Amino acid sequence: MEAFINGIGAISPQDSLDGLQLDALPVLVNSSEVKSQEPVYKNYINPGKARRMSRMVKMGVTAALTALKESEVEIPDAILTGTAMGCLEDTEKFLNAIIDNDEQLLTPTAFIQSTHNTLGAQIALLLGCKNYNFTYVQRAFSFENAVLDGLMKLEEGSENVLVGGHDEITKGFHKLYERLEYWKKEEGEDILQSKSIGSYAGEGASFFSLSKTKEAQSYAKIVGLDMLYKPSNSSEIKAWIEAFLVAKGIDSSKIDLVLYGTSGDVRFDSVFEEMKLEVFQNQSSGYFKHLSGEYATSASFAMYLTANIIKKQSVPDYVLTSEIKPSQLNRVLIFNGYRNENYSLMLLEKC
Amino acid sequence: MSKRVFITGLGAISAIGGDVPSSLASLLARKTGIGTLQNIKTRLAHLPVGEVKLTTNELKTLAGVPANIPHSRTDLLGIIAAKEAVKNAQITDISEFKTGLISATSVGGMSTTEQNWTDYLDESKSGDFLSEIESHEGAYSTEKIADSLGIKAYLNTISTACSSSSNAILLGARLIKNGLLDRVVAGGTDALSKFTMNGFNTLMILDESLCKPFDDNRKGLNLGEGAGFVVLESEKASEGKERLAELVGYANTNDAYHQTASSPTGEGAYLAISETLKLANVKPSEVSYINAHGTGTSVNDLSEGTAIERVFGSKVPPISSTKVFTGHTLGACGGIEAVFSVLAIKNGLIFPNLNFSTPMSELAFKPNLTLLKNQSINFVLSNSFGFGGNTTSLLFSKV
Repeated sequence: MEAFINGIGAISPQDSLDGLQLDALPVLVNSSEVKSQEPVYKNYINPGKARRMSRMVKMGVTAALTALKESEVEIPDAILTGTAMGCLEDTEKFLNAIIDNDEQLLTPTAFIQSTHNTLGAQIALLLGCKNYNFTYVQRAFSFENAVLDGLMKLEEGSENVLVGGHDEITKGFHKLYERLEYWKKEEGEDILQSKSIGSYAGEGASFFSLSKTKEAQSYAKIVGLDMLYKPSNSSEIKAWIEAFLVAKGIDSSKIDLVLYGTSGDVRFDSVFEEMKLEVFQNQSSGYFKHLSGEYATSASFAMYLTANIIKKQSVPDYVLTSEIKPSQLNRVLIFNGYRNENYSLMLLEKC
Repeated sequence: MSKRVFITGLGAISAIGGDVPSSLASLLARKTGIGTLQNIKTRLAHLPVGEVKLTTNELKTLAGVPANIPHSRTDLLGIIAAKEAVKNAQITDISEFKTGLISATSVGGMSTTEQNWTDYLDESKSGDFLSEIESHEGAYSTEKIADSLGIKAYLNTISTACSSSSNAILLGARLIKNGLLDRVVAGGTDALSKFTMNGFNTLMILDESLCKPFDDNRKGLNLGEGAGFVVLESEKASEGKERLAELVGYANTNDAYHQTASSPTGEGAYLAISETLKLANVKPSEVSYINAHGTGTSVNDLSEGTAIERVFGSKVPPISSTKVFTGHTLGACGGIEAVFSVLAIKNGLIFPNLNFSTPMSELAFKPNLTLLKNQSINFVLSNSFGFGGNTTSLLFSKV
């Protein structure tokens, strides 16, 4: 199962909606207050419609429409969204209203927009798209599951599918996860050097128009994807990566760059260092969570970054962590991990 | 790759029973589970609900989960039904075949989150209850079910509102047909919560008495809770064991009409039903029974009924909504109703649509009102529709 990435729309802490700017300096996500750079929405969505949308829905719709426009697809054969937490702003709003008003004088808007599939539904409504429409909410497998379904749909005969990952930071839930020590206490740490627990919270929406057909503007080809749930030790992770490479018929030496899901959390990052030494010792390495922050669908940001790197055949220095610079960029592997529970591999090739 | 996908195990818990045999007994006795709310403190306690009549602690015991790990009511209902389905499929070694779990939920652990929300945010309060925060996520319930069954190869959670668990079954079948998995435990789970009760109440679609699907005087739905799972197996994995039914058709489409309301023409539903029959290569006249989404809301029943007449014309097969027994269990309803659809096939039954008196003025058909036994049931169509225009149909066949 393979697919060409023919269009991308990404909203993130970076200026990413118009693609990767190789020369621009990135915004470092080194506090948990860094939010996405949001565009002027009226340039993308009818203001009357945008007014009723939550921030997450506006970000997602804009990213989705941008990806479709670039690929010149009007109506995709499937809309597949992945989100760990869904539309938190409206969930929180309705929850607070129930508690603050003691279940009285409530209005339905926040409830209506709190469902996890709100974004997928809004995209369908705006496009008038009556096709297959799924929303996956499997923590750090949410985006991966959306991509997997997209690959299956193409295999089953669809021409074009839209896949995306999105999650947002809201005040209440940010606080809840802070209490569970998800986030770093100190601002400004370098996540590559950090010895403390926690990561920096991130958010974003990245959408991809996938197709069976290569076009002039194609970024890259997705050639492999796999997920690993709750490995019992690092040798299980190593065996899983090696089995993935064998299944793809690719020796690790054929991978030019590995992007690791290093998050700066001392509890979870050592596995990336181990795999660097044990499987990819001769490969260039890079990271992305200093640009996206940590969230369960951050692999969608990694795919935006990787697809751009492959298309431009250039990798910015601020992404690389190794001394070795890639001599070519034919194959890039995204190796993400989330809290030692979810690991995923996504392999992209030059096309 | 498997061309065919069989159902080899069933599990269900809802207001009408803690397992499949007791659910079937209630269906046969025409005994609804909808009644007075007991487990949640709310101003909306006057509204009838299809509640599982066990406390969360009693469910913990029934599910056999370790006491030191947080489990929301949604997790526990899911574990109980999924375990029953796996046992029913006579699976003793879950790793014998590549097995995945696809669960569905609309609000995950909301019933726990809403109880603790104020304390979660209050820094002066700390303690073990904080670890329950993580049970909010829909994925958490799926992980707990997977962990209790020992499933590792593939996990997924679908949240497309009220069509969620039908979509879980649909995806499970596709993963098997694409050769990615041999066996999938698929279904969904949702517990009653103040959040959903108040949400549906603000939409003014909750009936203050028992719901009356497809009745001209219908006032809305009754919420319910529960979980329903089926075991889907490839030809290879199900070889030599009892195949309860075959999943021969499925389709997911979108109404693309309104965020919550269904279109009066039933466009999404019409497409879902038509594409399902087309995939199965089954003629409308061959369908023996329709287990309708039939929530009892003004908008759903008109939309669904219109779609059914568009597909079946004047020859609408016997149709009923089993939500009159269980209430509308949101993310779980497609799973529970898939179990009932297979029970209809296995036992030659067509379930009654209780509480009905007046046919809808817009529709020519009326639902089936009596319990029909000794029927020859070859194909059962099950519909599930949700917010966001999400419309799904599944077609189960006799083996």
